[in-house]
Amino acid sequence: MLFTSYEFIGFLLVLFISYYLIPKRHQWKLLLVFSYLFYFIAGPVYLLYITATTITIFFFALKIENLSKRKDENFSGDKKVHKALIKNKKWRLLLFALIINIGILAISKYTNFAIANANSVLRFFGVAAEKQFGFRNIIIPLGISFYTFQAVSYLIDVYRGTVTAERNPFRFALFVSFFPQLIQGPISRFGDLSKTLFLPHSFDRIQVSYGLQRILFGFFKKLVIADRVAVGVTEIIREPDIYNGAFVFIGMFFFALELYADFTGGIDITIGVAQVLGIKVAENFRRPFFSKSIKEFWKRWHISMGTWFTDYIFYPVTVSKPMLRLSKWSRKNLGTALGKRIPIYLASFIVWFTTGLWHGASWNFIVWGLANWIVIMISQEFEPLYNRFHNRFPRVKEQTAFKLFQIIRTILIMNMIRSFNYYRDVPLTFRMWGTMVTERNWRIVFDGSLLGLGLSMADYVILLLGVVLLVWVSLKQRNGAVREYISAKPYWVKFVIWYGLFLSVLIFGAYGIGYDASQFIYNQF
Amino acid sequence: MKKQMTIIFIILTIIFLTSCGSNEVNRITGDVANINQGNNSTDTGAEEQDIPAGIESLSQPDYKGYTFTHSGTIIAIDSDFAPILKALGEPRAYFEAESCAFEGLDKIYTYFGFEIDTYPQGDRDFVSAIVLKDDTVATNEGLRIGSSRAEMEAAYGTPRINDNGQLIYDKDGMRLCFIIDGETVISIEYQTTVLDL
Amino acid sequence: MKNDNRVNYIRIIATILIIVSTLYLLTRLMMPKYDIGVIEGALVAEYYDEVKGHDLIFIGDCEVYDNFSPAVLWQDYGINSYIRGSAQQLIWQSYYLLEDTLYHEKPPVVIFNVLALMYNEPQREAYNRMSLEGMRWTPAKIRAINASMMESEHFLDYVFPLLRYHSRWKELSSADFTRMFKKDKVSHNGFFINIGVKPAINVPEGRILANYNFGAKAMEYLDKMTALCLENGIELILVKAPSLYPYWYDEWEEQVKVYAKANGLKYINFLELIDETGLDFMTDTYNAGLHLNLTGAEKITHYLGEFLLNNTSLADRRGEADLATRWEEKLLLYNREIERLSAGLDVE
Repeated sequence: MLFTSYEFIGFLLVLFISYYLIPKRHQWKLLLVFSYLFYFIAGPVYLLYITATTITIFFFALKIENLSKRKDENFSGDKKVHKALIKNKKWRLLLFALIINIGILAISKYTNFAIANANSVLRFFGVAAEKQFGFRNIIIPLGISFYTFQAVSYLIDVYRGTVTAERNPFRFALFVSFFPQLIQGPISRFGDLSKTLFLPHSFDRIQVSYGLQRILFGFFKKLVIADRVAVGVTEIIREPDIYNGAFVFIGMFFFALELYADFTGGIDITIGVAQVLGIKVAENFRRPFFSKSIKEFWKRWHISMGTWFTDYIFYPVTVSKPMLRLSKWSRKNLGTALGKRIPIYLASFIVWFTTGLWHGASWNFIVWGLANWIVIMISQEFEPLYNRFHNRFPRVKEQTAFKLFQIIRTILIMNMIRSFNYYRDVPLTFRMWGTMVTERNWRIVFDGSLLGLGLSMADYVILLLGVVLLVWVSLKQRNGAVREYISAKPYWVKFVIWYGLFLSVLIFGAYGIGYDASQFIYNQF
Repeated sequence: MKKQMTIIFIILTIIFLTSCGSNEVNRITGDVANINQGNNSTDTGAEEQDIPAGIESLSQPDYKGYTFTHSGTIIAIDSDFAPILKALGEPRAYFEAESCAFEGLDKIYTYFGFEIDTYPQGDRDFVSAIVLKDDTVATNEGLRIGSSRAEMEAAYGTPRINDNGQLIYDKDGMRLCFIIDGETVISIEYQTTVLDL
Repeated sequence: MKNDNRVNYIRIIATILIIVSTLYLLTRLMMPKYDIGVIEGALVAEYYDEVKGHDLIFIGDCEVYDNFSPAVLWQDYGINSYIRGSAQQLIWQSYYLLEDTLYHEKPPVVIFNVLALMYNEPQREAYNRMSLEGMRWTPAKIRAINASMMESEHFLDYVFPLLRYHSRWKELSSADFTRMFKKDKVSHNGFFINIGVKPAINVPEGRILANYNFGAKAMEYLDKMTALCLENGIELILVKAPSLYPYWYDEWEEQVKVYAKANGLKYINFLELIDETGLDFMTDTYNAGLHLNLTGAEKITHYLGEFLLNNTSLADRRGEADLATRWEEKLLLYNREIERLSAGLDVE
């Protein structure tokens, strides 16, 4: 059930109404039922996977916490030895639960990728195609990357003692399966989400209307902008030999727009749905395209994923024993300057490699992840240089033009890196970058070639207006919530704004049969 | 009690993990990587990728799917018909099949031994079907009306069978369809899939 | 306080009114204007404006609305008939149109053209639209939609056509604005006049099929149609219009014959009556043998008229004053349209 389907809207209506009609103490149970129903509709088999993760993590978290408690009560014997024993036991339990759950994720998502890689090694050694491994039909449960990460974060938090384990398996099941965030995140933390998820909620007119407004804006981004520009992106990617040079450059902007509108639109729907239900889901984006560096970009884009990798990969890896040993060794043998860097760089290498892999089982994503890593490392190395420059010309830093330069630079670099995600493979991506220099076909911007991408002039106008709206909203947001700003207006002004937005989604949204590419026959209507 | 339950759950998890996937082994050719690029619209967040992307770069063929060659002219499904018509010359017969209500014309060009159907898109016509009518012509793989089923399977492998009992080989978004009577091929037709809705 | 409340109520009512009326207007604006575009889409709806009490209802696809002229049936035989056909009307759509017709009248005779038996699945969303959109909302329409929808379609799109046609904002023309509430009649009792001539030459022979049996769903609806007619005391007659293309296979003919015999139905295959009807495929078709033009349609209609008077309960009703007056008007329009077309005034 896509967020943009009629079915989903019907599903929400039934949920919203029944949610506020039933006794409040049962609200979270209703949510659990609807979440499982949502998942069941997506694919009945998926339920097996999510319940397996839910049950194993639930029990292991409980076990780990029980062990921690026991240590305070038990005074007999050598405290130190006992403590170490408990610690060891907890560690083994954690490891076991992680292996099971990361294992499910890895097997379902990466088996075929591993087979493809093994085959290319075999091919390298001249093994005949018939003797290579066949790909397997493995189910990839919807949203498995998201709910697994969410469940794992809970387990580790319990292990670290930063959250108390949930004693009610059904409440925990709701945390893992909460449907608005199941497909695309955000990856909520138990400590955050549980604050409002299980509470009784009375109908709050303001919150409900804010939530609905946010959902509407999400639909606007997704249907009017993302799905429209997607047509152009698909066309550019489909025929790289035709769409080279300037098209590559333009394609990068199209894709950036598509991705932003698609992803943040989806998150708007998620957060909006939660808000209607009185639940607070953490923000996942903070105007990312206003970032002045890649590092900053990643603090403002898909925030919940970035912090997840920092908290559960970067941090543990940096303080792990082998890493500490490496740090010690490198400082001793390579000097402090280099020695200090090596462990950090290695840890962030691991973070970006896994980030890439998490995004998709292909080298495109891995190279994309590592490209981010390289750029971040380089800019870190250049920092002293920048600092010297800014010390020399202290006023430059404060100038709007310079800030603008930084923002545009960041956007351009991110655009380049992102192209690994959508071209067929890595070598092709490099080749397409090359054509931006070798092919001097800038005239396409003016000679009507852009109209051949499946987007008409009318579409471009809509896109342009959409982008203006997005930028306006982002600029406005810096001074406070836009919905509050609008809600202070007179009734009819509000009505015109929201009903206008609704109508523009209804009319200009790229949904339905008229937008199916294969439906050219209807042009005759 | 809890311990036992935990163990049972772990065992169950492992069992179903190992059981899925092993039953059906599919061989996927490299071509799917191209198809895969199409559904990239969601992205960084969504991770559903059913088919692994190809690792090495794949050279794309110039023609799509199975093609038919007649006196040096290669005819591929969904290709622009104008240059083909120029190369093949005037057909022996030409028929315009109007569809109910719509203005577009499906055209049928009859040559000795085969027919070509086209469908309009924009102001151009594209090949929608190539039908081999007798044994004077053959597919590029050497199959002709009157060939045996065994020859067909030797050339194309095992077909899928559609609801009507046609034997079908799908390739690059087109299909090559055979009809067999007894053990003999009685119909060979290349078809587009663009028109199936 | 009281005043405040009243302001609130007025505001809510005004809001609802604005929303409902804008959505209604937008729907009218975005809907295709069939009567000046793909006119076949306008056929189904025109029936409802008619005075009912027909002797004969035709149901079927383009093989009925292009090939039989109710005007001739009245003028020369006194049979009051109406054609309920639309482009590529599938057999279940014909069946439900018959159900729909029965809400309005119970004609003594129904004629169904059998070409549609060749389709066991819906073919194109656009054809579904044209056949279904014009139907009035009844349980029959709901069932017709459910039976017809393709995978890409959604029931809601039929309930709120704006959801289907919203993308037409790009191609709106001034006619979409001026014709929001006005519609011209395009048919003459469901018949669509065409006077062009395009000889039927080079008509391709039928291609080999893997399976010549009609599909199960198609046959199921033929059964339902037979049963419905039986139940209502209607005589069902099967016909096959004389179209050279799509090719009518012998195997298909055989199945229809067997079915007609088994169910005691009359079956007329006009393809086998070329001499009797005097059809000439060099002059009597406007698109090379697919459909007949006016002269062709009149020829086979004459045959049909004779047949009906001689073989069914239908009788000449030209003596009924009311009916005759109504038809006089209709014939006037019919002849005027023919004159207009003949004078080449038809700018298409």
